[in-house]
Amino acid sequence: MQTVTREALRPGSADDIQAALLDADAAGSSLRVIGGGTRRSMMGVAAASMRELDLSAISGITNYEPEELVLSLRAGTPLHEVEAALAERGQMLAFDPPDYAALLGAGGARTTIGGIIGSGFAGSRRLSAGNVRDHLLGFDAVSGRGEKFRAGGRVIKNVTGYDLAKLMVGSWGTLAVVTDLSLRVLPRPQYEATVLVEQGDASVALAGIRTALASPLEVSSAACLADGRSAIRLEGFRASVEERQRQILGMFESRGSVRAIEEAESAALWRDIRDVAVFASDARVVWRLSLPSLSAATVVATIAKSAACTALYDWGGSLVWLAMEGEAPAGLVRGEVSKAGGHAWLMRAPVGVRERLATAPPLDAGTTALSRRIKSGFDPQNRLGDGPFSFGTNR
Amino acid sequence: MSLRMPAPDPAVLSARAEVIKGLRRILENDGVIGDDESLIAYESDGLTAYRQLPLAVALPRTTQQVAQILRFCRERGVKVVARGAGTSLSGGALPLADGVILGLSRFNRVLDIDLENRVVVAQPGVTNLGITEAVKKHGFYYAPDPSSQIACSIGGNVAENSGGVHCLKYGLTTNNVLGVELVTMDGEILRLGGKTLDAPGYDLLGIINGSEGMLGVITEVTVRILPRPQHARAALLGFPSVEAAGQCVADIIGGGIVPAGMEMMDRLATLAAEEFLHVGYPLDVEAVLIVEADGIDAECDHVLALVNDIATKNGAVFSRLSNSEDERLRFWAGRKSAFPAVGRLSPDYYCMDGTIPRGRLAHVLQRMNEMSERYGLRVANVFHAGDGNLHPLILYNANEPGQLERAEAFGAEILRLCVEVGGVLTGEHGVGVEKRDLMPEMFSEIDLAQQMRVKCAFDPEGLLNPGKVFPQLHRCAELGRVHVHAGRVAHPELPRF
Repeated sequence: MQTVTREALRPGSADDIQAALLDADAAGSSLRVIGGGTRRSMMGVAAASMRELDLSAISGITNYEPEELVLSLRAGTPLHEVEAALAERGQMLAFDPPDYAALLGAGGARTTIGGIIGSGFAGSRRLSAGNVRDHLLGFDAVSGRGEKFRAGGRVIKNVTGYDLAKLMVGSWGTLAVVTDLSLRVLPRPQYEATVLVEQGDASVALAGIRTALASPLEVSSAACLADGRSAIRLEGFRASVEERQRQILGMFESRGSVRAIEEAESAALWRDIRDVAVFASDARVVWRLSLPSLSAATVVATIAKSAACTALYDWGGSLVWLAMEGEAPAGLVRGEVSKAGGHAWLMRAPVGVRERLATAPPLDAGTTALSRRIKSGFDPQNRLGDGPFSFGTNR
Repeated sequence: MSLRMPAPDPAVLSARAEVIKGLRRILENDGVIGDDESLIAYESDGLTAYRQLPLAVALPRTTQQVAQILRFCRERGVKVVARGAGTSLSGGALPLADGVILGLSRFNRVLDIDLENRVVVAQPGVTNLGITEAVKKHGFYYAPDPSSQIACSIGGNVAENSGGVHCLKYGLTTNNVLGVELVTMDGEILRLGGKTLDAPGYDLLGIINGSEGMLGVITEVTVRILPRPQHARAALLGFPSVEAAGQCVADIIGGGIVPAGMEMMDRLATLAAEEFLHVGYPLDVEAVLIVEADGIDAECDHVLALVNDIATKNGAVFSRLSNSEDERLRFWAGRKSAFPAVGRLSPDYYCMDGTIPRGRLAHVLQRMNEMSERYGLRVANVFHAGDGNLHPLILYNANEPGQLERAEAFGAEILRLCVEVGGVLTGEHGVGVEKRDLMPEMFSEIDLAQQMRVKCAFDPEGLLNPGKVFPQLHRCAELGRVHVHAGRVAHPELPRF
């Protein structure tokens, strides 16, 4: 991949960002917002005139009120700092932010909260606790126009004006540079346990998982691992988890061999699932498929008929991580996924492959046109680039 | 009424007969209302202080008809106001004299009950409760439960991002909607999201939720359904002071508990509810708290025991844990009828809807009491304590000259106070026309311009529900100039790298 040749800008404030944008405006060049750089490979090849806007100096927790369940911080704050501060008060980011540094070959890069928000990928608890988008309460930003603006607030229940926070999540810094944000936080469960089941193939395993998810036992995460085992996670107060664990074990006894793991062992398993550790140490192309859970096993089976692949199913089957040998048959993958009503991200690929394929899921014509108009509203001159998208203004 | 709405377009007013004829052609003479007598049914929504007869009402049955109506109206420069069940408390569906009401009442079918994927696809006119009714026998329900859930429509819920008493644990509408079909003002049909747990591209679905019918007309909604909890138990607690009740709420949350519901009532609201229904609320306390846990028995019992301990430590003088479903429902009955109960104390009341950081509750109530004396109007408070959403009910008598104006001024001052302490103007009722002119309390001109540019991306001519949310109408072309002015002139002194 062609690297950004010019030295990155490292603003220390919103004023600095504003100045950088005005300079870019004058020079007719553009900026690329970067947090820790974990997902840099997904942003595509940078134009020669593009400079990185490195937010690592805009960092730190500004206001944490555990009893209000709200955390305000600056965008460049490293995720591990956030998690340490929350753990001290027995709380967490419930959307379970993943760390893809190893998966994306960015070892050593430190995921920042801004990067988590910008890319919008949630971890395994998304199944029960909501997506990244569901936890951003408000923010301050500098738009591609160079205007400082804010939206949302620091409270959970807020319908005052349009919910611009939703647009920031997953926009990859292509609309505005978020400098400060407020996140909803939740109590960390006191105890966790995971029931592991060995049974048949993925379609059988996922059917079992769906039965568990249809029960009132409050399953918090559910995955079918690359080795075929299903994992069903329960969290909460110990007395409650133990009782639910008994019931889940009972539900699966007749389906295959079952066992339960608890606390640290369970947490470690889910960290690996969330971060897709199983595909981290090889060089295969990795797709991230979002599907209606009932279709997941069928879609994977159809793809597997034409191309060797291994799948890890999370979110009860609704999220599929697919590792493929050799070339990435994008037409096949995206075709099957879209027939089933889903979409596919190209998460990891050699530079040559990435140059040929869209990283972000392609959108239909109407949504593309609307997205372009949204982009123009924030960044009419495309000073912030297209990120992984292909609907930017100047393309 | 002192509210200023966009000036009606005389050309549209004089072309009324032609517009009605055009609508009749599209709907094949079925579902167009054009006579003033029948239009009265549509002259206001749940915010009845404001009334306006629309130009006409169109009641389509299909997405194609919606697209045709919008295209027809756009070609003629006719404004359109979409309407679900008309229960908005902020005037979101208030008609315009030169605008067509697009009623979605005939979009009343549940299209797909997909238990395997745990979603329901419904037309926008289906009621909120209708979705739960459709999946009840399979052990599922739809979680967001605004108090008007018997009547309010799911399409309206999306437009307003409606809440309910279980938001803290289960989220608002926006957190439970996975997809919509939407028709834009130029008649284009878009599908955003679907049966997946995230959607590609910019989160357009996220911006639709809570956009108050200004970006497009929703013709289909896909929602997530949840297995119904096995049990629910509630604690009814009484405190000698609002401070003690507030501290109890903070300690429950600080103690790692996320209750299914947590509601507070002040003395006046409690008295009114008890007098109305005799449910057994303590009358010698300053604040009543209802805390609900749901899940398996072990979960409910454990959580309620913790809550009871925390309440005792915070000086609760009254504590009762529900021992039957009957008793639990009785605890809630008083809270759920708090509005009509307060309504018995006074000929009229004005319901407010601000959100505050929970920790500022005692301060806010204290300041509100001072205002109450100054305005000479009583105020009762019900509070979604779990999420900080406060509903002050201002008691007044519309027949006494000046009281409505005083109540409105009192209400505006309360909302300013909410913003002052770090909260927001509206938690779940929406801005609509009601809080429109207060928006500058929370947002600068640039903040509002950025929101309006999103509106322009969907509806460049500003024909869909104009006059709501934004205090000033700007033409989309004018918004560009805010930038040049603010960006270049305001910071000439900026240092460069």
